[in-house]
Amino acid sequence: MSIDIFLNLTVRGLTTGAIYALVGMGIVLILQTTNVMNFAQGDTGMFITYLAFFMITTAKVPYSLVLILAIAAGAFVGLLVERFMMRSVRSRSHLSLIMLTLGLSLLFQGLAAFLFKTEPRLFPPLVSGDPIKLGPIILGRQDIVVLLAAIVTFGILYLFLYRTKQGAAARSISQDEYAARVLGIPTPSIYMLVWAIGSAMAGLAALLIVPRFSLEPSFMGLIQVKAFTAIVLGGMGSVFGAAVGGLIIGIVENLVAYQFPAIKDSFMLIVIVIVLLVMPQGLFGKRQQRRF
Amino acid sequence: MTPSSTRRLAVNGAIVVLVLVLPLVFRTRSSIIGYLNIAMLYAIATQGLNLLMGFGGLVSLGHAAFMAIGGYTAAVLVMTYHVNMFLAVVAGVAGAGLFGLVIGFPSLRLSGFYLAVATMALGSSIADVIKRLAITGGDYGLINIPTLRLGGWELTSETSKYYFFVAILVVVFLVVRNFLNSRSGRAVRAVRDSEMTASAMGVNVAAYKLVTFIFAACIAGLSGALYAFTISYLHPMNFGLTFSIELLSMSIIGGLGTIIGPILGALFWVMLPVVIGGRMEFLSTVIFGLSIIGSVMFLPKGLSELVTRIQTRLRL
Amino acid sequence: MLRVDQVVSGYGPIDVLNHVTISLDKGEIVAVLGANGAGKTTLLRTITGLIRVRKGSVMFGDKALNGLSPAEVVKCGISHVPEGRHIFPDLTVEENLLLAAYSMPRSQQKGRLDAMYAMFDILAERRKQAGGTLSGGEQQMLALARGLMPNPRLMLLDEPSLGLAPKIIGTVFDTLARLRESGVSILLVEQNAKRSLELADRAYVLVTGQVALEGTARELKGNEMVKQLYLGGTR
Repeated sequence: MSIDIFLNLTVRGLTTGAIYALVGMGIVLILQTTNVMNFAQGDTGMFITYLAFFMITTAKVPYSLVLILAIAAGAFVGLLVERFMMRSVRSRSHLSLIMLTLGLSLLFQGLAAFLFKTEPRLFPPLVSGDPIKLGPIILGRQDIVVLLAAIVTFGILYLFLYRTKQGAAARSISQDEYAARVLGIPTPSIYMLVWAIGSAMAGLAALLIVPRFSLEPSFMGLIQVKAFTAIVLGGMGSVFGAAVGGLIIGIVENLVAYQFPAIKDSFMLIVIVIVLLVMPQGLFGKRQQRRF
Repeated sequence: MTPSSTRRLAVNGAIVVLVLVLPLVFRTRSSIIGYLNIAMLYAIATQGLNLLMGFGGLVSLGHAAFMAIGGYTAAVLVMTYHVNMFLAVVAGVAGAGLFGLVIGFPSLRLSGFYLAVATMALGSSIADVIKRLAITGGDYGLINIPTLRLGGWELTSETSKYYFFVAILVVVFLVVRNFLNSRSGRAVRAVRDSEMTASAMGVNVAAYKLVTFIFAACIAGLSGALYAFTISYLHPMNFGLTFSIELLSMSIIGGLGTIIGPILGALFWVMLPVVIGGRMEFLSTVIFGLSIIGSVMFLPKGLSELVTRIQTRLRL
Repeated sequence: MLRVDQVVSGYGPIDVLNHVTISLDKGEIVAVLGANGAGKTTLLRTITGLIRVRKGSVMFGDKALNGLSPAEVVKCGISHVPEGRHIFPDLTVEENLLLAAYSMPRSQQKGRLDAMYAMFDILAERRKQAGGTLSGGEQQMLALARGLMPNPRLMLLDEPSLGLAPKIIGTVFDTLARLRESGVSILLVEQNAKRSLELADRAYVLVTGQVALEGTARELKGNEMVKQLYLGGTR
């Protein structure tokens, strides 16, 4: 493999990895604060993407406005899910919570198929035009958008978690939920906020990546699995660990796919299991569960 | 006999008669019986999952893989190595059980979400590996698998398969029920309720977790093997994460931790799209999603809860 | 100031508090003694709103606390320092303190923070350190400071001496005395009966969810049963 190819694969892998990171960070945020592993994260994004598609094609809303509306819709959906579904089953077993989100995932897939039909559609990219050449690296314009959006989102998330009181509250809840309640932190509104942010991130991630595939109800399925690999690698307890994990997975996956296309997917899956057994706290987590 | 037990006998008797007579009712529409057969096979696999999750408290998002192993092992043995079908099925069950042991090991160290993710990954990777092996037909799947035969008897008609599956289903349910009522079964439930307490009471937690996984896997393997010889076609992607989640859904909708839950859930899952009809098939997906959500939120015992309520209404 | 009247509360199917009546006047330190499982922590949780009141009422001044959320109770002027301190281990001392004044406007928070640093110089020193790196005694100081951040009129303290070395316990109780001087009323739940009765004005003894004994601290110190059960051993 020449250096040029290596660099190109790596950069391309970064853009895919950024998507895994965005999905994964949303999952970890929700997991750490509300103790629910949201298996519907990918499909929430998928549904938002369908809504966006409808807005662009039928309602002829300009693309940039659609982006904002879609992210807002994602946040709204997350809020509703927390308020009306998760809140009442908070105290149940892990299994119940997992099943609830799986049911939600199925619901979104069904709704998308039912409302919009399942034929694969082509989703227009945010920017079109020729790829840009930076030295030996060739980057598609959409890829640049993805990278920029990811960097901005990481930044916003960092500011939220470490510079706002709601973010501090979310972190405190993830460390000691009881203490947070005792101190008088309004935990229900923080839960809703966190779900809103997580779902918005899912919507953003799906929107950014969909031009690469065709729009159909199942397009986020494999991405979600890879996002899970990312958070396992980064440590389920760490939001930014998930980000790093996602980027690593994206790059490694791309390199492996080039050399050994056959084992691309199973390779990732075996990685999860090995990490879980050998190093369950991942690269950045600490021994105990539930930490940012 | 008390009035309620005569009533119960009458209702149970009626159900038995109904079950036996059903194929005759639908003899002109054997496709319906075909669907019922599939539902029964799913119910068998779901019973295994139900045992694992409802009674064992162990999360598994990779259950479909056990079906796949059972099916592929049996099918390949019969087709490539010309092994007797009965032995092949047994081998399928054993193979699935073996993988149950393998997938069960993570459960000793992981729990809750972590176990869910691990089983999800392992289950998906088994499907993926099957896809890449030549011996299993790889990406094209395995076609032209011979039909089920009982001794010298080929079960070609849906009706013959129907009665055979009913028998198997009853046997499986009885075995599971007896297991649950046995000392081992109680130990399994003790582990589900509280590992610490069970361990303090002298229960070998690790052994029971593995036993539960193996048992559940064997049951699913049986279902898979029978499925292979019924549909005569296996494709690895039909046994991936999506199907694992479907089995999970059948378990939940039917009622986790109940004996009849699996059959109710499987019937609901298979028959709803049939009832709704071709054009509205995605409506069933929506209904499934809502059913799962509704089940978790409002009816923890799923459809079996409805059955219990009917039973109380009829004062059985 | 605080009146807990015939309160019944508990967890799930079990009632832990069985018609408990406790009162506390402004400026008092009232101790609640009792063995493990007597319901002391449950009592505090019920007042703060972490557990629902099933029967009876909890009045703070003329405000009923029944059914209020913990956040609302804090806003009424009551703070709760839970058993076991519950410091947020991966947040800094400063973050820990600021969270305790969550609903306060920014400008006011700063003032309270400075007041806490003035009162507890260890915390001022370690303000940027993670909570989990503090020693047991320092964490207890942090827990107390957190309890003071929202400028409460009443503080509920659950076993502040638990797990601390005797010398540190002394510091803790001195701090509590200082607090009383500055006008904060304190409801103190403790297993360390000896020191509690030295500090408190009045006390109650809870036995399996009911008030078995009540009176001034001096009265209880002289009470035979109390002496045998709670003052006998070295607790």
